[in-house]
Amino acid sequence: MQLFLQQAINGVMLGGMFSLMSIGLTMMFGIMKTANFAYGALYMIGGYAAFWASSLLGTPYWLSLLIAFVVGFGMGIAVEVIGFRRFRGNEDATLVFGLGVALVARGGSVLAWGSQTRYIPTSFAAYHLGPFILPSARIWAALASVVIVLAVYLIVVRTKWGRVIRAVADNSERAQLVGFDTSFQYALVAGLATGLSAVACVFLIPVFSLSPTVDDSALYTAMTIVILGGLGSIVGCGAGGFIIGVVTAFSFGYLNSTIAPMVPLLLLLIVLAVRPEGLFGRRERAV
Amino acid sequence: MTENNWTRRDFLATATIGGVAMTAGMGGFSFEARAESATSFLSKGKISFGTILPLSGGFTVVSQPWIHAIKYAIDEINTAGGVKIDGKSYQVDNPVGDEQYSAQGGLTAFKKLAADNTHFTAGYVSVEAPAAVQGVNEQEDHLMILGITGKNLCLTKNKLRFYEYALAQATGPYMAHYAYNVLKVRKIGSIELANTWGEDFYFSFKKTFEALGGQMVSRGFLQPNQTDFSAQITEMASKGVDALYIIMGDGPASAVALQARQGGLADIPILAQGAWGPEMYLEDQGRKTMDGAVYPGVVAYSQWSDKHQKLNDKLFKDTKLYLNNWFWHGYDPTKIVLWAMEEANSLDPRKVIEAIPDTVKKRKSDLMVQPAGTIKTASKGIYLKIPMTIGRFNANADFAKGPALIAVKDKMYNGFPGWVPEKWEGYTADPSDTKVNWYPTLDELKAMNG
Amino acid sequence: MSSMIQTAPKNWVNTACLLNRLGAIALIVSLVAAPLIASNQYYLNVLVLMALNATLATGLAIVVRAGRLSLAQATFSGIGGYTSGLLVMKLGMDYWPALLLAGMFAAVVGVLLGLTSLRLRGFYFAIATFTFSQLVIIILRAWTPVTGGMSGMFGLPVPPDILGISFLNARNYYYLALFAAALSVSASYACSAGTRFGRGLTVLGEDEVLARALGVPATRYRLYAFAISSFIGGVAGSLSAHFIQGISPSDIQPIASVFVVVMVMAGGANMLLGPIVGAVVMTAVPELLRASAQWSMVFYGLFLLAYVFFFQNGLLPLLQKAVYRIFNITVIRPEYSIAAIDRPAAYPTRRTAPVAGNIAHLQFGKMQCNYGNLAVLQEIDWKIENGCINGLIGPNGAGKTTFFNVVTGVAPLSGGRMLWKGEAIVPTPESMARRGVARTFQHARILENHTVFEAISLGAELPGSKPEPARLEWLISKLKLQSIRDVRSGGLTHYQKRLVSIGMAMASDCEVLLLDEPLAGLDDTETDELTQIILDLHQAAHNTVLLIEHKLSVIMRICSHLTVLDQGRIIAQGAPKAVASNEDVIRAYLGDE
Repeated sequence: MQLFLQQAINGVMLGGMFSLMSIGLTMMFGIMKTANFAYGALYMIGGYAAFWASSLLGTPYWLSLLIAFVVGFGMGIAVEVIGFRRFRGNEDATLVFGLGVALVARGGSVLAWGSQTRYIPTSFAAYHLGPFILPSARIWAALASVVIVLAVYLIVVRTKWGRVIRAVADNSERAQLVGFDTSFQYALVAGLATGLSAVACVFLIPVFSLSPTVDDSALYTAMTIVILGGLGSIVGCGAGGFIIGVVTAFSFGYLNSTIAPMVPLLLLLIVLAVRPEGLFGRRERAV
Repeated sequence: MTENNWTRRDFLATATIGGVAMTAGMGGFSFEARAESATSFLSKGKISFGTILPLSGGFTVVSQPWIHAIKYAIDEINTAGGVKIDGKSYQVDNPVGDEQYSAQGGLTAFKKLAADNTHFTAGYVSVEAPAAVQGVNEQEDHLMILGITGKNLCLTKNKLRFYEYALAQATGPYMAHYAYNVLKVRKIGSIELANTWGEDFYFSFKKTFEALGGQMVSRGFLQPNQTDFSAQITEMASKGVDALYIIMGDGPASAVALQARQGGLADIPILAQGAWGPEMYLEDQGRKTMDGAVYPGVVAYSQWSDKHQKLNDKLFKDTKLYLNNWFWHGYDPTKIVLWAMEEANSLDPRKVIEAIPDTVKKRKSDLMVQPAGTIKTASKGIYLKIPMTIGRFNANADFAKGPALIAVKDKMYNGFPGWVPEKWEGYTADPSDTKVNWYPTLDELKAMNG
Repeated sequence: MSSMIQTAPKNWVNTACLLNRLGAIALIVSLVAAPLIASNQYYLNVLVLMALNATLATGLAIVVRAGRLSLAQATFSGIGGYTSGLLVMKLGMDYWPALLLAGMFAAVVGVLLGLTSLRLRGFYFAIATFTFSQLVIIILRAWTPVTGGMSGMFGLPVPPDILGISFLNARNYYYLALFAAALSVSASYACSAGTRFGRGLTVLGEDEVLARALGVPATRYRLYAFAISSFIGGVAGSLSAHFIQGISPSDIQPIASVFVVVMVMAGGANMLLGPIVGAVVMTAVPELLRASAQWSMVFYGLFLLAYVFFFQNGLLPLLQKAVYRIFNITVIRPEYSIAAIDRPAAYPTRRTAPVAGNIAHLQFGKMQCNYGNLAVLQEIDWKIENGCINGLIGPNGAGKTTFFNVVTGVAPLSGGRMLWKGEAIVPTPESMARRGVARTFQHARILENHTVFEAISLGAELPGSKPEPARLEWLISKLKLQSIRDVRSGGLTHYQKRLVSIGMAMASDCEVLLLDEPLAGLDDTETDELTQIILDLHQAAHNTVLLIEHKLSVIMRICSHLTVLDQGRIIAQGAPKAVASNEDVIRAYLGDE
């Protein structure tokens, strides 16, 4: 029983971390309908920015986070303005563009920084809650996830800017007619989303460490959660992350770990087959 | 035909032309005699000794020390005048190919080198790449110098193969013995890279450990792109393991160790096979995590001499890395092969490989890994007998000035045989034969030695 | 509006044709001769890879042209390789039957994947296929006793000799791969312009809504496309595995499937030989970059970026444009001409003038249509008069287009009954098209990449009838499209597109013609002209016309019956004059003319 509960706790923490990994893509995909294949690569570069800041300049943790955010923000705007804006509506071109950026980023990272794993110093401290173990790095990451996802949710749902964003997301033509500068809004969202993903990467370095392969897992995880949770739904991101986290923890805990990775994927396929709009997404009307 | 679309007529016409042409190509030109392969084994007047390692695709971290190890060995021989055959001296070229950590990549890289008349290649990190190249290398009169074990690869038939590193089957039993008798652990949780190499390390350890009375309570696997091991760590913690055995995986292995330390296994000893990468030297965190970890390594790892210092300085200057597991894979074996060419007075790989045993005997004192000889098989090539030492990783060592692996005190584990004796049936049996004892225990190994 | 007659000069088509042919011949010659020039083992290795990639990419293009982006083609290749490897190694089967079985097994898996993803479009479908790829790799890695797990299977034999030709010789293997590529191209041809199935599939990919409205059975056709594409993938994979003489999961990473997609698009998905060009280029580039291996990933990425910024349609169309420019061939878009040209005497139809008392084709009893909780149409009782032009009017948002959508099976029939020739039916787009219901759309849907003539032929062919040349010619001349019959529809004016869409609808001799605001956006002259055309068409065809329009003067002039919708309900029905003076109608209908 204790094992079960510990795995459940692992799953919840993992879920928080997965949501954190995915919030940026949720925003980009949901608001801008952009299938951003470069998401993982930009996530990773944000992490590297923080790593280098902290190891070369010796910046404290909070400053490294800020630097990561700023770098991510800049990259997001750049990628949107240079590429995604031009290819909006052309799915194939969006795909290829994202892929191109991802390859350049990944190859460039290996060339520039080598392929070895990097760390940011952590303690091995684990909090003990009764018989249960909560590694401090994970707990902090999970908490950061809750805060960030909640903050995004509140911004999108409760603030005036959030309403603007939702209007633009819903129907950009109409929004433009009403007077919103959709290009500017899109750029802003892209920047924010990528900045958040960079911050997520930094929070997750103490858990997963940093290397040029981190982009793959971030991209796949984020895609899975975004689709499971439902396009554009912040709630879906949180719920999807939670579900995938718990499912993953239990699969790896109770199944052979060569088979275990199948379970979350099968879950995704089932959701796609049965409810393609995701758990919290809205079904698109047929023409 | 309109702008873009073909009509049926166009299509049939094209098909006919194409068909005729291809038949001509296949039938007609097959009468052309196969061009005689060059009797000379030289490439542009030089000996071409190639390196095939993953520069992309996976596990690229291990490549840099290995690439340079081969290069340094070749440079030294070139500086000393090259390889002397029949009174003439030949310089050695070292082209590098990217195996891309896949069968297709490795095969293509190999063929590219072979097309330039390269007849010797060293390296091969993945299991797939050498598996694909094997067979082809014999057709091309090409000697492969390998270090990756895994019985499905290293115990297949290949006459032109030089195995320069110990078999997993030889080090596992000693590690098990050390774990049981010195560390006094009884319940082990393991995580291994999910291929035959990982499997060999696991079973060779397990057989001896269980024969001694220990238990392998949890067996986990490590997928190359896996990042989270919390579930497996939790399972191990719940079963009360008192040691963690990490098998291969380099980059992910560090993550395993880190997550184990965070996840409730903060103090238990870590035993590892080949699971180390630059982060253990370059990152404080990496160092801390693996401090005290138990590794079997070639004797060169736990020693330090002027030669070590020189090579280390050179490697650090070129790559910002230190001598570690992967360096000693490339350095000595390359020299052995080049010296064997002189010994055989020939550049024909089939003659060179015959000369390796004598070369090893004669040049033992010049080799850093201090081999105890070779094992010559009828159809599986030649295996180098390398003594091994169990050492513990010292995170506080100054890697620029000394070894990172500190040899353990007990004599039994210093310089033990890192090879399975000649008598072993594995050297003649087919790897898929399940009746063979692929994982002899320590007692069985000692009995085989006589 | 109109100017002098200017017919498209015939010679530009011929020169283009000739160049295309020459290009194809040049390609074939170079492909066949390549191993003679590039004869060492390495080059031959690369050539074999290119040929197999070309096969793979051409197969994928079939699915891509059908409107679905599949990120699983490399996975099917892997499935094929493992299947034939297992059959040969474990079951001792001969290679050639094993090859066939490998393809078929891959096809079966492809159909299963297609089935599970039927309802998904665009990006969702891509993700489903991507997830599938990851699943397959996990299975291959985990099922060690069968597949060899992470290490894979090695020692696969090359195909056995045929008539003394040994496949250990890489050059012969290259020709084998080339043969496979040629078969793949043939299949691709059959799945595009070559057969009716192919033409329907192409239209499905271009405009799914229009395709279904024309009667293309979307689901079935897509599954066929998957089956064929996966079969090709499996065969290519088997050939690849037996060339390398081994296969392992690392050869079919999910990213490999993405690269096959890139090959298709880089070359140009819509051209038959496009994927081949893409495969050749995208295989050559990493090989050329092998020397600077660490930079290869960066360069590949830059290469992709260059593609997407500079030649979005693919390399082959770009090449073609360049060649045309060299030979000074331009595409001419002549002005629309009003000159009358000889036309066939009458519209060939099996119908005669309607007889009173014939069972109405379409009847509705308390028909209801709901979207979620919202009732968009309710209490629709209507027996549509045969052989007449029935007008359907109402304020914006009344549900007129939705009504058309229900008739064609696109919107749900949530309640009540719909009768076709007296029988209660549940409409689906394909079944209604086959019954003889044709429609136009508010935003003219025509096949932009096809010429006018082709579009109208497809309009006849796809719903199931034979495109009778006489009818097509009559329509083209009646619609005054003769001068632009060979022009790409995408380049036409708004009015011309309208005409084409009506032509497409009429081409199949439909029983019921649904016209959705055909006069929208036309000026007075065009309106008069098109109104007359509609009248003439109706007179000749004796079909039943339902006309949604806002231009009330036209409605009053040509409709014999009028139905008014407001907020989803019929508020008036009957002869136009009576309806026009109905107070409810006047009250409800504000704003327009």
